[in-house]
Amino acid sequence: MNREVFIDDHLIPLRIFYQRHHTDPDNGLSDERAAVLLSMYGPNKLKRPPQENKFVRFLKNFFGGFAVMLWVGSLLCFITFSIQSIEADYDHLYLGVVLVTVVIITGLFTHYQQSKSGKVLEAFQSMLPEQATVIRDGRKLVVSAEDIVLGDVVDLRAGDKVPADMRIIECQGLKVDNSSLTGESEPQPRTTEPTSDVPFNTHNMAFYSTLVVSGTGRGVVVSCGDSSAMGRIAELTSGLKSAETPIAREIKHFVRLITWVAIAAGFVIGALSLSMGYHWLDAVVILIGIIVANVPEGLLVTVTVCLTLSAQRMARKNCLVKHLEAVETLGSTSVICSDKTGTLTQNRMTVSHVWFEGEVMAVDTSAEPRFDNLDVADEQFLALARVAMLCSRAEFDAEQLDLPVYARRVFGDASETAILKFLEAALGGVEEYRQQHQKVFEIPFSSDTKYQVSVHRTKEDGPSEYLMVMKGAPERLLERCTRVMVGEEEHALDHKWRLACQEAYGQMMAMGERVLGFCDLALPPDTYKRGYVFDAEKQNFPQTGMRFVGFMSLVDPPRPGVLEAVRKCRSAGIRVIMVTGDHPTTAAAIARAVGIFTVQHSFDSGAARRYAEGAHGTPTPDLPGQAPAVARYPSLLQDLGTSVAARYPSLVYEPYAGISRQPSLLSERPTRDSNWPPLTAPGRQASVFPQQDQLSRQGSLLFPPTSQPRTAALIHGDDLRDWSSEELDNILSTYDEFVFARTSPTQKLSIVESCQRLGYIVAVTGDGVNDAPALKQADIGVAMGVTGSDVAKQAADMILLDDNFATIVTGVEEGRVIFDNLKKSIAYTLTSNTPEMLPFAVSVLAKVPLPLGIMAILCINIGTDLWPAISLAYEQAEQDIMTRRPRDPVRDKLVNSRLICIAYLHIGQLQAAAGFFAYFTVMALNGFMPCRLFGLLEEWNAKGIKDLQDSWGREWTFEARKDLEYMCHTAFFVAIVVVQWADLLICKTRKVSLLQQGMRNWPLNLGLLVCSAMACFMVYTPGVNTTLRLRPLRPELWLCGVPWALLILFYDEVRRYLIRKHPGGWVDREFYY
Amino acid sequence: MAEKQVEQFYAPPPKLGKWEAFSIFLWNPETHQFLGRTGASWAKILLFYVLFYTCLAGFFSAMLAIFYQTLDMRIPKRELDGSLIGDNPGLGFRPMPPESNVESTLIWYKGSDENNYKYWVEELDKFLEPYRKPGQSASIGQNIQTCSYDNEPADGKVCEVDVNDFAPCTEANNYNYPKSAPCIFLKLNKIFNWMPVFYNDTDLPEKMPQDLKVHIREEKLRNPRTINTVWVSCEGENPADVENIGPIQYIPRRGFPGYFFPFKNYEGYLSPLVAVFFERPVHGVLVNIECKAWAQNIVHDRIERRGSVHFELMVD
Repeated sequence: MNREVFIDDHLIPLRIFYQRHHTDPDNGLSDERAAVLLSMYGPNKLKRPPQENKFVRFLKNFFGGFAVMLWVGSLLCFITFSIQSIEADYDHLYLGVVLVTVVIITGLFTHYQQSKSGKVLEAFQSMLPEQATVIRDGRKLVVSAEDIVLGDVVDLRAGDKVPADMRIIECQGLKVDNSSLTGESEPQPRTTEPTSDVPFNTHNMAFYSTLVVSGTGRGVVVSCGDSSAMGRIAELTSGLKSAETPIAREIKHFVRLITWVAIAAGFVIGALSLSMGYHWLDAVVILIGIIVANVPEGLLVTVTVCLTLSAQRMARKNCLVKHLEAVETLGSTSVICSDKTGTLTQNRMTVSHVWFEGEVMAVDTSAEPRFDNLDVADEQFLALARVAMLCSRAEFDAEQLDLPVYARRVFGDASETAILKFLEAALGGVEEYRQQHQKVFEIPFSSDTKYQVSVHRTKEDGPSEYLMVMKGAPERLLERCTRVMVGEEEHALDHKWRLACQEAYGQMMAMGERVLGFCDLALPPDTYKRGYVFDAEKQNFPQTGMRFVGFMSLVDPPRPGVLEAVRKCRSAGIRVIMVTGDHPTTAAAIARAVGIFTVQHSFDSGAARRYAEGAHGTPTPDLPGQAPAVARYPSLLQDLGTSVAARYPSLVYEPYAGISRQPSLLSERPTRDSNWPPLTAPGRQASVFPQQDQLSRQGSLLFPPTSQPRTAALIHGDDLRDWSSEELDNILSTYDEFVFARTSPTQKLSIVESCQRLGYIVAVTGDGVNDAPALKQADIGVAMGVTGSDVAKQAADMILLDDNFATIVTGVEEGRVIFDNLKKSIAYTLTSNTPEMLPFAVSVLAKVPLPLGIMAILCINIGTDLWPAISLAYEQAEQDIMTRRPRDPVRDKLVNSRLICIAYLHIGQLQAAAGFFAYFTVMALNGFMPCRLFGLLEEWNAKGIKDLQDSWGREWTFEARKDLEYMCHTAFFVAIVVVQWADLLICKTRKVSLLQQGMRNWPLNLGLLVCSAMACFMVYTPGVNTTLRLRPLRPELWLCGVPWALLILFYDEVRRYLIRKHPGGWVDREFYY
Repeated sequence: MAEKQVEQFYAPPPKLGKWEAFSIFLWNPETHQFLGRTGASWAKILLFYVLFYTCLAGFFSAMLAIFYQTLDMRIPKRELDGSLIGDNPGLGFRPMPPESNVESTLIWYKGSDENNYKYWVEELDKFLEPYRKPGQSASIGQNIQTCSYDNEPADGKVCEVDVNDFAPCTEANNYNYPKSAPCIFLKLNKIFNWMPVFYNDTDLPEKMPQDLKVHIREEKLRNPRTINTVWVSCEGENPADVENIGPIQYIPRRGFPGYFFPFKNYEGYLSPLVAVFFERPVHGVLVNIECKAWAQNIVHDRIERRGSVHFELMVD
């Protein structure tokens, strides 16, 4: 579990640190040393992951799957040809060449498809060269980021990409965006002091590839290139072998199945023919026939084209597929491990709640919000807005003032940006208001004081000259307030009001929101006259006695449509697990908002930890006031004493120890309280914050009484670190709903691996570098196209161009449809194997002239069957596929025994009957009655017999007989084409009637015409027909297949009617594929 | 809609070892399943397939039966070039090499060894069996009449072929095989309703062997009606074969008399035969022989072997 690397570069005293890296904070490295280091360690960049040899990949296309069978077939052809070559019978050579051609064309086609989808990827891989400012020999130099070496002193400015992992030695207001590395959605302040042992959490480290959001700083490079944090993650990623996709597994299974059928049939019939005294060469020819009949030569092309079509459809829905097979993988996904920031949420802070007049008001957090429920004329709201407008350093980009408010660029940190946009949208005129109230003094926000103060000139006619405004962490602010504004009145901030305020921000924080308090004070004009000089050092302004005006809380709101998408996933039986680097409270709140948590979470591994963190000061300055918030829950304090040590053995293992998971558990599950999400659901309707009720529930949530059903778990990454793989497996198989918070890249990986060990097919979404290993390990990794890092995109199998989780659901739907349709397509293709194979068996056993030739079989398999099989990919889903469970990768095979039975033993037999009927008809029309045919094979094939007598006493030369035989092949071939029309129609649906499904699939309708036209072309074009060993068949003989086609339609309608009529009945169980 | 629904998440099945899974598949003692099915389940599925295939067989037979109602058992549905058999009859020879060697057209035997030539003699015996006892049943006997160029068969009647005419190629002589001068019988393939267009002595084709031309003219002089004959010629294929083939006699005449045509599949019809008597083939040498039938509507095509026949003779 512990694959983390220990680093102490950020902990050791600076003096030792400089010595270790032979550098100097002012002069940097010497040019010579830099050059030496550069030549020693190589450029500061990530190694490209090794690619599979292109040639090997190219060759693989020619030797995978059925290709081997076809090689064997063609080899047998060449052998028989070389033995018979005295007779100069070129048929076998010809057939061998045809088979080789089929293999090569199929291989080339697959290769073409592969390389085409590979090109999509390359477009994403272009990385721009970065520049960096370093100090060497005391001079500032701008060098390529690739030339940076260990110990370099680097200057950082807002907008730079950090060129290597570095320890910060100087900084002013430096903030970095670590979201791609740690998943934290907010910019992280950097300081020069270490704040944590863990390099990722400490504030004096900046990491390779992260972005400097604001401020300036100077750092010393401690690791670069592949040894940097990002490099190690990339290495972790490339070290993972991507597992076989489910569809590849399915096709492998299918190929194996068909190969066995072919080998078994081939050997049984071959052995029979030998034992019946046939020459071994004849037996080999029969074997070739069986192989060619059984191998669906066109199937790989069909599958590839089906997947390509789906991939194109998905691309139109903003879902870019890198590997074709990933299309289906999404359909069989049973678990989605989703990142929070940017996928489930919009990755932009937004004001979500405002507290004034003693009430929490929800604010519309959608992209184009409306504020109907806010009374913007309310006195207190205006007071709150005034403070919020003034006490801010955020400004709109002056060039974008004509854009809609929410589309404008803002200079400032995330929370101030959010507040500015909210106020501009709700009230407007922020800039004018600020100009009317010139700022005269300011103390910026610091993580020590946790507040920000500014003093503004009031309007000329105001009662006082100056207005002091303040915003910051609620508990710090409340300490300084003595009065509170409620509506138009002011109350003393007594115990009652203090509690009410605490309660309000407690609520908001419990929802994972970041709460800011606002207060103001009109400075008494007698003391603070015009021109008064405020001094931050002397603190010559009031520290207390302020008037509290309200709270605003900020959240990174869920994306619109995610709630619905998660709900769809649930109804489709897919678990959505949130795995995020963010804080547990925030994560849990978003989980609730998007419907990942539908019940109170019953197991919270991090509760005790958060309590502990809270007690020892705030480890996370951006979530102000954590300590009192948690400390406010007395029930937790009591529980902690008794259950911390024993918390998960008693909670997790005991009730389930030794109980293997029974399927019945599913049905025993209580109905969930699903009405939860609207609380913070993005929407236009006002939702009043639930008050007391929720709080009391929240209090008991963390450690519920044992009687309560346990279905949801909130798990802290630090706990994950201590667990063994078995423990994680156990947790994952015990609960239903999961949120993993504060997870590291390796932990994400562990979660994915654990799910896979449990037999799930796992999709992982993510955008950051930290997600890359999990993306790679997942059965299908889904990277974000807009915010996603290159590493993530490289590791993923699929890229969401709109970064929207909801798009995944579309993908799932598409994947499920394609799985169903592939099933249909294969059922269609396999059915014709029986009428192709049986002629050989019958010919051997009854010694009748061969009813169907190998060339005709090829004409079907790679000719007439191809288009219809592909057209089934366009078939609409026959029922709501998003309400059924994901397929069971063990039992719900692409090709299962039922499908084989239906194809080979039911419909295939009907088709074979049609073929034989055509055969006997043509034979009888030419004088060979069945009774004459039986046992005739040897004489028929004897070149020496020039006068074989038919039932009418006529005598046939060898050549005339062969002509007749080819005519029979043609009749058989045409009969198969005709019954394949019916087969195509019945394969359109697996359950519903053809009448219900309709004929709206135009490619398929066209396919009926195309395959018939193709058959006509083969049969009637002079030259083509003789090459294919076909003869121009009398048109009326096409009718031979028609009664059988009708019989097939009727038979299968009855089968499907019985399946629908008696779900779970005998027919359903035995004959539903 | 999905809100109140109890979601059914996918639950992975328990993991079993390969052998364990297989043995449970073979016989599951808990459910009494053999190969994944209980006895009742096996019975049901087998019953289904028995019924299914019975019905299928029934339907198939019914379809064929209906179709055969449209056929006449004596007169073909389609004749001559309407049928694949075409209107260019092939030439056949007897005796044929053994069935174990069906591809071969070689007649190879040793005249001094009875066991060696026995096969060929027996083959010819078998072939001539119907000719020897033509009137097996009353109806057939009634049908047969003795024909000549001046006496063509009445409608519905067929002509007699007398095996005694083939002397010395008779059963009693063992068809002359022991004398190392074998007889090989030629016959023209029967094609329903095929009527030869006979050559006149004036329009004989260039390719026709000179001796045959001479023979035709002589025959015509003897009886002008004999011109109505499908003539036969046999030659060595290569110059060496011509040398080795020796003198040939055609018995009873050098062709198939026209009164045997057309073949109408009347009961008792027997193909006219020509016995080719190789008087002195060179011993120990393989001789390639090609025989041709001559009529204006017989096209010779060596590749498709129409209107001609090829065989090899080797007498040790």
